[in-house]
Amino acid sequence: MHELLLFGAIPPSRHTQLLNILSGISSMQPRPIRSEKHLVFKPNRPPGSVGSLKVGGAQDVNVHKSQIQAHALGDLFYMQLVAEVEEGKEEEQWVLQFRDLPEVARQRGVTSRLVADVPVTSGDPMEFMKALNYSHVSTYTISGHRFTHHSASLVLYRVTLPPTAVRSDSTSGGLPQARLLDPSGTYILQASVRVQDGSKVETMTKGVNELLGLKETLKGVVELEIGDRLALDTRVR
Amino acid sequence: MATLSPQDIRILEHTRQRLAQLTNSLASLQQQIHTIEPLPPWSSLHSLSQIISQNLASVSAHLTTHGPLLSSLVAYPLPLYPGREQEPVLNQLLRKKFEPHVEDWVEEGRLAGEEVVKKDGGRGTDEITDLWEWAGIAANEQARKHEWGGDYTADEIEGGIENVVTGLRDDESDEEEGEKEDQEGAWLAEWEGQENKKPEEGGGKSLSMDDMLRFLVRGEEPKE
Repeated sequence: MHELLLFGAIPPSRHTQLLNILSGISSMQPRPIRSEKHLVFKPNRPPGSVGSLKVGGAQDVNVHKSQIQAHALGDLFYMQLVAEVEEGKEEEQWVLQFRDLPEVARQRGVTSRLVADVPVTSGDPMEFMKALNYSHVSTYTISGHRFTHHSASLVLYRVTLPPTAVRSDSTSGGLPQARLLDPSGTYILQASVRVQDGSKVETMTKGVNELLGLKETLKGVVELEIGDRLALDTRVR
Repeated sequence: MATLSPQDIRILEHTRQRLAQLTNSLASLQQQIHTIEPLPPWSSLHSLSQIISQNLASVSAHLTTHGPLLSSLVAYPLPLYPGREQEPVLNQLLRKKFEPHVEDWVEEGRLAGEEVVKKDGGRGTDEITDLWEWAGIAANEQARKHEWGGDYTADEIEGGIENVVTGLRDDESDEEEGEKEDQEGAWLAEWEGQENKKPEEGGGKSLSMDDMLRFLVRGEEPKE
């Protein structure tokens, strides 16, 4: 599955206004996303992959090694476990999300990347990730609202970081408090269209045009821009 | 230069016709002013000036459209032209520079045009500010004279307007209606509630979009 994306930033003061506008454009009430939890996982390099190829006394062993490594392993990618969590609700539907490095944009004008969402149907997702040799690196929560306009999905959200531990050796602080990723409270508007088969030029063009049409509609309200390819790089470096 | 195509000749003919119309209407205005005492009625002056300005506009549009062709044309006399008898006409036709008084007109027109551009559509900034200051109050005064209504359909009024789903609410109405809050208002109120609980609201400097995206995909918190 391919995902076409555009991003925009909205200061908190304009949040209500934007909800109104998006509601008008999409002719629907905003669907609240109360708390969508994201667990970010990073693959552990297979142990012994570095240094295990020291055979013989080749002088360019390092170059050789990294080449072999690249060929043998390819790139390794971050993955995420995502679920909407609610207080008092035990069963959470976790989804394993893979996001590829976005394609080089060229003339397209939108970010395009390969995505895969695999619902976790049974078992312990954390144990599964461990078995995959992935380790947990960070957690964040997304809250905001979702709109659907034709085939495009519009999500207006911001990111909250988990509360930092209360310091026991200090009188300041008090209750642990969640904090925003962006201290100024900026919201992100993410517009996306998903295309089943990214190799079909026709459907891709249709998707791109719909997204660019949306950008045109929202011109002057919020500037939707292409996401920086390297900022969206999911490869492990 | 290559010989003119029939289409080019048609364009020249159009130019001639339009100029002829313009001179005709100018002449009739002149004639009316000269003959009618003391002056022709304003309505006829007005209609004449309207005709003239229409003619001018059509000439100007025509000249602009066919500018490339017209500016590349050169006039020259044929051997058969009666040069001696028609010398003044010939001179006029072959003259390349404007006559001195025409040059003055052109200069005047150019200056007037520049002034219009400079003054932001013919009005100075002060004038526009004045206009807007007046317009806001004047529009409001007009609006107060009317009785506004029609926020709800007849069906909605019959069914009781409290049950109408109007979508988003502003904070004030949430507070005023408090208990009457319907479901649609509830999520927003809850949302606002969450907002207020969040610390550091509005403070601090904002992150760049790139930093935020980087965090979203890799979970790397931006360095301070």
